[in-house]
Amino acid sequence: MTRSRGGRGPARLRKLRAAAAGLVGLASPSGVALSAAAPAHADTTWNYAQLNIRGYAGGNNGDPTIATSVKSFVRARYNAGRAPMAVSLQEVCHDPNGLSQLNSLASGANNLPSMGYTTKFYRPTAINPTRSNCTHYGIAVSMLWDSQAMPVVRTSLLPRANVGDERRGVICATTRFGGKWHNGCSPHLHNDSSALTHQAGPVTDFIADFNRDYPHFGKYWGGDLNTDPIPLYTASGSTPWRAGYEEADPNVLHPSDALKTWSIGNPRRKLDYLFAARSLWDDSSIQRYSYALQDHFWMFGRFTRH
Amino acid sequence: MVVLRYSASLAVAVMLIACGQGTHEPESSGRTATINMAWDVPAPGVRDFLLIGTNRLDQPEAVELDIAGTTVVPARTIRFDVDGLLVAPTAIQDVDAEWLLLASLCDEEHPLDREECRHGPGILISIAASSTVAHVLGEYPELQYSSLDLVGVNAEWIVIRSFRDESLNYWGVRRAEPHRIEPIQVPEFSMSVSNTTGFESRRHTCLSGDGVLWILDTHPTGPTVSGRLTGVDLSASGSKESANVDTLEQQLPNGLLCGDSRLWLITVDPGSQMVTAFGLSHTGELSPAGLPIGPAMAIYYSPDTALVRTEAEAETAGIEPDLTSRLQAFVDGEWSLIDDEFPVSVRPILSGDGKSLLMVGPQPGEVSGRAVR
Repeated sequence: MTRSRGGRGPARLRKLRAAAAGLVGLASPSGVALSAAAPAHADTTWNYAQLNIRGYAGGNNGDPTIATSVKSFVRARYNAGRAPMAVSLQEVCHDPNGLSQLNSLASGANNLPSMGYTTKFYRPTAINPTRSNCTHYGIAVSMLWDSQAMPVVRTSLLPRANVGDERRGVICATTRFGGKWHNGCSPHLHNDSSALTHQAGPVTDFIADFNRDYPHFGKYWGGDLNTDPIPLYTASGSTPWRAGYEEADPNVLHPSDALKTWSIGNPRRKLDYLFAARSLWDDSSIQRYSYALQDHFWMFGRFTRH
Repeated sequence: MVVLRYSASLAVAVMLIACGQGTHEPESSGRTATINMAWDVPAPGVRDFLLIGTNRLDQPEAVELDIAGTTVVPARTIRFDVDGLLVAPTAIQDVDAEWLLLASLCDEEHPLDREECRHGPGILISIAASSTVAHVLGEYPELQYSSLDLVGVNAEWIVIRSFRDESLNYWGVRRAEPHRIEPIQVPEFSMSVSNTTGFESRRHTCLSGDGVLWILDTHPTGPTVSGRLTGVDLSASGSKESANVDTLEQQLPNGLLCGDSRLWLITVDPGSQMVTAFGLSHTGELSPAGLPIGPAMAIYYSPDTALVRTEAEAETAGIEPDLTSRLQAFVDGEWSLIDDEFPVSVRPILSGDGKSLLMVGPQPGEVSGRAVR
């Protein structure tokens, strides 16, 4: 599924290309983040991935081998020259005393650090000392990192929704890659209509604040927002949705055509989102992938500046 | 804890299996039954498996799976007689072939199978042998908003563990009075973290066949871990016996299993990821030498069994790397190799008695089974 933003006619495209002609310096260190780079007039593409990995629910119980699928997912795209600049992750298990998905991301075959990623994790919910391999449960963001500069990490615990006891949150991090700084965020909202009123606004406020404090070149956020697009886009938060961002799916606001991301129930729903700063791109595309014992499709978005 | 769901009609799925559609022969022994519904996960019992489906648009149902030799067949379809929807059911099968299920009730307004959907009471459900209807034994408001686990069952007791707001509680339900739930007095648990290693304190629990709830609290003490073992005799009005457990050097406890005459402590070396089983006496004495298994990718626990995945090997062919793993089980004090090569995207589940193995995946809805001994 692909699109061109704005006018779709040749004149519009020429105009965009002319504007992009001055975009030099988006070269791809290591040649992994950008599918084409360096010369003026060349297309520049930034890739991102959004993965709710269902680390504990669905009988997965913290199974660390889920991380193996994540690493394979990233490695395949890395080898194809389409490494995601950032990977937002939700429902991630960690256990400092055992074998955890978070630990596994950083070790063994295809480990993320070997491909140049640094991963930041946030646990918004209480430690459960009885869950083997999943005493800690939360969200993460993995980002390419080629600098000795310390990444900045900021997290926020979201207000309670009207359901249950589990807490949800959002994590943002910065890294330096390809000579430029990038921001990446990973929120996870409750699966309840109250999340829209209680949590959506705080998430966008938090991300907007983060981007204001760190006004970097690259800006991505992806997450399991557990909300359909139209109510999400029309919700009245203190920060307008999409401020500075646009979603990878060109049909995001067309319910029948939007690429569905949640495989449970009938009809299928779009609950997961990949937003990239509008300043980075003209065209976008999105693909989804099904992995064993997952309820969310894993999403891969490409944002191209012509 | 096992969370289960399906999105298509379970009845249709069962028909598909019965008609032989959507099935194919797997590479190894055993037959793969492809079930035409997504995201169903079986719950291991003491002897067999229960496939439970919950659907936000429908009433939950369950299918008991029977592994006859190397073939998985649905033995019976069971309807739940509950007013609401189940979340995160955990199942165990009693010795009289009665299934006992613990779950939270979730109202229809909220999707199922989400961690946060636990605002109904905890309920205990019985599925009697040969019955096609599940009955609620008891509803417990005390378990509202909690993560629930079914710790174990014996002739007199059903033991439940709940976790909410960093508070860990144990509950007993007498089989003769299932509508009543009683708190079990256990030692207070407090978290501690090693400043040098980052290791955290942990609580491991199992219920022995003779009705003792065994609790092992481990605490990091610098580079080592030590613990305190407490046995709570449920049949003797909760009388307790406690003992200190020897220091475990470079071994992190990962699980506690209740054997017939002693306990088994499954540990992981944080450096080598080596998994070892140590015998643990009721007086807290560890066997001097453990039974090693090898570096682990993952450990799974059934009521009396540990299942360990080892040795992933990358296959370079194709753009999507494929990985394989090896599976070994710890049953009755011995490690044994069950399967030496299967995809990591397949999840193994071993029955509590270690005699049946169910493979879930690699595609959603696919299950295959085989007798392992």
